[in-house]
Amino acid sequence: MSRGINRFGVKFLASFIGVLLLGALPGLFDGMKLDIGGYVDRLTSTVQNLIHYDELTFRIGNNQYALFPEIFTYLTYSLILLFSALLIAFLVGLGSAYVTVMLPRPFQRIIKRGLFLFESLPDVFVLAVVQIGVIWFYKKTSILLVDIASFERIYALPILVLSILPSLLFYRIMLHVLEEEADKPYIELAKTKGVTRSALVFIHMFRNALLPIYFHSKSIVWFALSNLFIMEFVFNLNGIIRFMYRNPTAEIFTASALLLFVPIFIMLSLYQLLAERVSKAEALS
Amino acid sequence: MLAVIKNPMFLIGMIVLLLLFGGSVYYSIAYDDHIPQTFLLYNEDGNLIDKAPLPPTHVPPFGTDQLGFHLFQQIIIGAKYTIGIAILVACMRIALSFVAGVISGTFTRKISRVSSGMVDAMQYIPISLLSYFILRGVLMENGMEGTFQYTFYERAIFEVIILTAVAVPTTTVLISNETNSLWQKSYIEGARILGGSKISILFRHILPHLWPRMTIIFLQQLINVFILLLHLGLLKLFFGGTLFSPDPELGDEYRSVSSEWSGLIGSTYEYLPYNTWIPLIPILFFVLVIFSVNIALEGYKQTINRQAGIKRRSKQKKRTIEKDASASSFHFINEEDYKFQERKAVNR
Repeated sequence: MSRGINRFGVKFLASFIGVLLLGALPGLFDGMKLDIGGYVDRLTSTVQNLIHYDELTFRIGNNQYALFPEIFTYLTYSLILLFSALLIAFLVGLGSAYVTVMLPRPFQRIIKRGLFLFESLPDVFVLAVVQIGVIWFYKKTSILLVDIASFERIYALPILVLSILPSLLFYRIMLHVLEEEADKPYIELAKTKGVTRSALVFIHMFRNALLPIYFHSKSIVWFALSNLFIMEFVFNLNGIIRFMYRNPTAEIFTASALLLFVPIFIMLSLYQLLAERVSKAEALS
Repeated sequence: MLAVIKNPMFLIGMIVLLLLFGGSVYYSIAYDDHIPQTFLLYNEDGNLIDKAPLPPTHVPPFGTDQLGFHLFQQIIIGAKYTIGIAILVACMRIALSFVAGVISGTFTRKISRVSSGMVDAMQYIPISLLSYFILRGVLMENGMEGTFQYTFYERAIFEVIILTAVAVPTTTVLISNETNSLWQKSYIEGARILGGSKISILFRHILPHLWPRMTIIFLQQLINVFILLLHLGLLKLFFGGTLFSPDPELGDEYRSVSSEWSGLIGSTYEYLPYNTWIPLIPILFFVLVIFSVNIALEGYKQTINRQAGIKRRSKQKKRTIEKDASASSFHFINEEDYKFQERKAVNR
């Protein structure tokens, strides 16, 4: 247990401090000049302000509001979008990887060749196509799928759009990891014992693949986060990242970044623990 | 190394990039970045049929923007800036993190949990948002006075430095880990026992194995920069500066100082619902460029794998002969063991 606290606690604290340091980074530049003193000032004032977090405010138009607890409505909205999209992406990736592995070899090769084409699509392009699609659909049927200009928080479409690119990434990573796993001798042993192919994939290979997937999933989460930002911006969603963009003060930036960091960190750590438990191995990093 | 040029995928990707870049440079030398303008369009009888913005069907190949300037020429002119900046930034990212990563990977055992945790913090903040906050003060024109605080070159250099700096920590950790895992390999042990100094092992045995990885990381960073530029463009921060004229009645207007692609997208994204082609065409060109880098990357990976595959196969052949001679499976166990270490996981 103390080892666990050591492993995750140190990492958590280090990342926490890292986010604090990054949050004050815009203070480092006075115009174009490096301003170390300004950076330190901004850092200390941010920390002081965050300690008295209940006095923080933000503005909409000419009105001032208390930052807490109002910020949590923004936060939960963004987190619901992010986590559901990641969950869908993981499941879709897993499902399609499973189907692909069951296919005959030549098909697998064609799919792998074609897959990276879709990965080249930048998120802005996907968003633009969705927007055009929604408008086209509206013009044809006069049913508005999403009201982009509304103040209400919408869920279904943003989650779907957000999960597109991470699904592709998960799919590709899983295919790669499963393929590596397939070369191992225990698979050969299991095959000779007559284990069916889908039992092999789900019970044996996938268990061992969970941990390698974890190493890649960090960058996928980061990618999804920057996707989320652009989506909130383009679709005018009232999420926390757009909130950060609209309220560009040091305190709000740092506070929001910290609030985003904590749940994501917890989620990644839980997944790591689960993967370690299942595959009976321990991640070194 | 030369084998990669024979790979058709790598070749196609590189040719597309070179054509766009070369065509852009040629256009600015031969035509002095002239942009033709068609504001009003008449048919053969001299009747007015349409006015700008004109769709691609009227003015091939890409139509015009809202002021009648042809998009095709704008794209061509912008290509050299966008591609040039991306290559410059990616090169600088790689150069800096290569030096730092190799040094730290060689002279420290392993990056401590604390510093890797701090670098991890970058993964919890969208990089485009962070760069936006740093760059905004310098790049955005002061709307009230209509002036920039700095000259074009100062702004451009500042932006390149920031875009480089935001990725250096993560790339450094990546390269450092990569170098470190090379140092752990058993053939390095052999070289050490034979009396090689740390420096000579580094140059003779570590770096040659690092180059292919560096090329892959470079191409990945290139894509990364393209996407970052695209995002910043959407946030109305254009390379070299944003001309900002606040207009409460007709909506604020943002224009790019250089005619670089992300500026074309950012300043016209609002037109997407009505005049779809104006922002969509520059976005499609971004897709094209990212795609060609990706295809080159894939081709490069294939070549590397094939080379490694040939080596591995010939090794395996040798090993079976040896095995027959000695009739023991000692090598095999050893290799499994070695592979196991390579995995980032250890059994409990």
